[in-house]
Amino acid sequence: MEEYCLSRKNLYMLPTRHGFIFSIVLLAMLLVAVNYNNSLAYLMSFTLFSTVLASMLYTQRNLDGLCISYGDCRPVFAGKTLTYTLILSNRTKRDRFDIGIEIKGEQSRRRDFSAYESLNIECSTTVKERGWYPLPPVQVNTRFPLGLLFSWCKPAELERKSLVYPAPAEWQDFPARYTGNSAKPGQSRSNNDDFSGLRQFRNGDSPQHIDWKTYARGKGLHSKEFHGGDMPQMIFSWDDAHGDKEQRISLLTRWIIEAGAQGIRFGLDMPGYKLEPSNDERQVTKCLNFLALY
Amino acid sequence: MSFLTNKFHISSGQELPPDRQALLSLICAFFLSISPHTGRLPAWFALLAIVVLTWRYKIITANVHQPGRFVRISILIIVIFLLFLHYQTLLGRDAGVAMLIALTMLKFLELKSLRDYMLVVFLCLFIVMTSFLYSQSLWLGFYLLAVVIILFTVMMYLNHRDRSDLLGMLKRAASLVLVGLPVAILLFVLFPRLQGGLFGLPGDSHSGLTGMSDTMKPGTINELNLSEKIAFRVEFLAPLPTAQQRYWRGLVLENYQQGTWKENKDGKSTGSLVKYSDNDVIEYTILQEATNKKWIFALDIPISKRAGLRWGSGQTLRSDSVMHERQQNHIKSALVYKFIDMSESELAINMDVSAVTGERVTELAKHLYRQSASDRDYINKVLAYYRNNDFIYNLQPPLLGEHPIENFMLDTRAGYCEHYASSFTMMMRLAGVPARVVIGYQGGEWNEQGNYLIVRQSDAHAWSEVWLDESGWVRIDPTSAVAPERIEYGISAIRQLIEQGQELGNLSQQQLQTVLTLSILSRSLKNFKLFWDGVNTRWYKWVIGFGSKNQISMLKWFGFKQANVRILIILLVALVSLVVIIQAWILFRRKKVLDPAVRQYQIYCQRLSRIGIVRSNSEGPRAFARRVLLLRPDLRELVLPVVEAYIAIQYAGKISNEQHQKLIRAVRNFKPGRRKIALNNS
Repeated sequence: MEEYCLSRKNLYMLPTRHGFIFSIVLLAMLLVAVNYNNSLAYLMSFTLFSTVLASMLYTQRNLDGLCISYGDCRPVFAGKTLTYTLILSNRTKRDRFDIGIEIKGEQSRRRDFSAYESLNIECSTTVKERGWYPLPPVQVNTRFPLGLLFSWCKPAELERKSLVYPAPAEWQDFPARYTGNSAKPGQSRSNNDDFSGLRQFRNGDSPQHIDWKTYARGKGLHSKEFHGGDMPQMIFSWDDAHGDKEQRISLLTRWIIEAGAQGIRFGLDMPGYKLEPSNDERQVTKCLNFLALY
Repeated sequence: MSFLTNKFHISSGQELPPDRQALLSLICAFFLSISPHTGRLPAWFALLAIVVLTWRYKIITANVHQPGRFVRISILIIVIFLLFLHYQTLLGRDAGVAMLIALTMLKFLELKSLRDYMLVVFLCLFIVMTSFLYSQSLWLGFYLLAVVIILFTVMMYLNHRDRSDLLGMLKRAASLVLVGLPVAILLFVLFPRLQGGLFGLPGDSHSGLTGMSDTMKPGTINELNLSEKIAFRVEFLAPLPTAQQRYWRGLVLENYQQGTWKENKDGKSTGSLVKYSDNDVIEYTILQEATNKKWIFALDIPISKRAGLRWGSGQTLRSDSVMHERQQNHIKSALVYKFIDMSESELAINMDVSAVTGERVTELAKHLYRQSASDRDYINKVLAYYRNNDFIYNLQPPLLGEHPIENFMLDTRAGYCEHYASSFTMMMRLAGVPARVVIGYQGGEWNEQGNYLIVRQSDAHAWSEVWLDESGWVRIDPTSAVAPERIEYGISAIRQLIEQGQELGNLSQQQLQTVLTLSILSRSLKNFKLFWDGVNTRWYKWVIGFGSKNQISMLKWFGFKQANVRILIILLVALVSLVVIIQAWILFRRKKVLDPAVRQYQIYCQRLSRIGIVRSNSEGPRAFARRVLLLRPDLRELVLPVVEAYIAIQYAGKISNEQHQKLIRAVRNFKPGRRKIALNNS
């Protein structure tokens, strides 16, 4: 579900503790009115009761029509901080008062919303495990107007997940069969690679490949393209890594990141999954997606 | 009910601690709530209030320590002890209210959390309600409605995160009460009312009522009750009786002992004692103020009674129970009537002269009777005696001595209705004509605006009834022989005339007119008073006096054959749900387009559809724009700003007003013409 709009289908209401005490007071008033057969005491008890009844409508209306959605959310590696944006928008002309926003792992907030106001809440949470991470549910509540009634929404229905890549392992050399002619990561490799031309900078291109000379000439950002003439083509296989499943996945992750950063053509060979080598920019994402969910 | 156990269901996690302003507003609201009670509370309450509330205020402003439990309980015990000393009890209405106010005051000392503050607001609401046990006047109702709205505002204030907009909260509280009003009225009208209370009322529930006494002792009090307090109000179905006919019968006094007239307790009658013709019957509704007595006042001779009333002696009406509250009765009276024969014992009592002392008065009666041809002639002779012997109508007559009747008839010759009624009745009896005294009210002020008659305590009157063989009991008002103005113009006219030193009895019509004409100011004041009384009367009739009887007659009026509690409850539930559903529908109604940006975009699409380019449902803004530009390249300059602004808003997290203005401007400029298509095509 893209968006979660509050309506009477997902809103609940109960009296607060104050509400319970108030109802006892109200009952006592009614008893006095009955016992003294006092018309204005009757009228006053009824007025208080009907005001609470009306406030029920206002409590519900205070939440009704608010919409919750999530903004952009980028995948992160396990162990890192996942940041996401929660959007709470008032799509109506009504002002909202004292809306409480409860997000798991975040401090609770209370604020007013004016007409058509929309609020972005930047949230962050540390993710530990790879795979799909469901974004924490959000609950919106209010005790407006008198504090006698508490209305809240059913929080579970907005199912948004964010992908968490496996945590990369400590650096280990690429599998032995490739290490012969490969330098350690970080060392200059431009000498070894064949420069094949320039192309327009695209998002995701490594800054190391930016051709700063052309940029300095004012011709915009360009990336250098390399053709691995003598560049090795690597295929990381499940058996290249050691240890248990998670350790292997971590190591593969590290290799993929490094290979991607170095622009190496690489592929993946997993039990039941094979990815042909490529130095396509989407290759890294593809592999990481696969490993995250493996 | 899984949602109940939801981990998010927090109850108090984010409550705001009430601040100094919250305390101040609470103190103000408290004083407003107790203000109607202030005159009734013991004087030391003022001291207690000042000490406690100042102390409390210091706690928050000057960091004084909040008193511990021991201190608080000690104060509580002392206060309860003082209350007990003052009231001799802790139960009942007065002591209960004082106790409630004292406890609320002490609660201020331990205010800490939001819950304490809310509790004080609830207690204030309860205190407000107790004011109605003392008075149910219209003013008090309005005042306390305002106090209730203020208390709701305080509740809002305490619960609200942003505490700056106090005026807005007041408005919201008022509108909340207003929205609730229809349901409150439905509950008021349809909530089944009990007759009588649940537990019985404490003894102090009704006190301080003044009114007529059930005995008459002329000459012992030298000042008549001239209170402007209202005794009862009357609405007539038939035309209004004339001033001379407005005799309101209360009690018939037949026993005369030691100068005091009393009711004959043995003479309770079981049925109506009069014959009358239906043409002479007058119907009216009488709204009688609380008297703490049982008697019911009725015009002239009442001939009908409803259940709950019974006949008193001498064709008077009684209520079965003491009238602690205003009571409304529908009564029929006969203006022309004939009493049927009376019994021997009754006759004996009404001829009893054993208590009359003094030789001279007996002589006088015998002398006058000897000159008379008949009983009726004798009556006229006695009335003429009053008229011709310098009798004065005087509201502050001299006291009468040992022989009250004789002293009055032959010495002081000054008095008001009681003196005349008493002496006249005795004069009749001394001559062997049965006679008795009737007390009640005479006259009344007609309220034009409200179409009803106001009878005040000062209209209290006494007159005589004489038994004539051919016509039964006949009313004779000896006061009219001395001061006919009393009957014609009422007691207030008499007072004015006396104040201006006019001699009563033989004023010409014109003289009276000039004397009694009011200045414009006092006339308009009088009119306003009457208007206000009319408003109050309706208030009492329709609001305060509303009870189970009205509910039953209302159901019958609406055509229900049976009128019982079940129908009331069914009606109540049905109508309240209906009202709430309608209110919910109005409050939750949403405009079809919620987003103003979407609204603008729709205007843009509408204009395009007018020139024949219709957006399909699946088309996004960009795709649609592409298609539009394909069809109408000339519109490029107009379309692009709209689409760009719209997309910018749609994908922006927080929408700025600037962006909105941009879109609105772009859409306003977007006026695609049809003509250009034709040009392109050709």
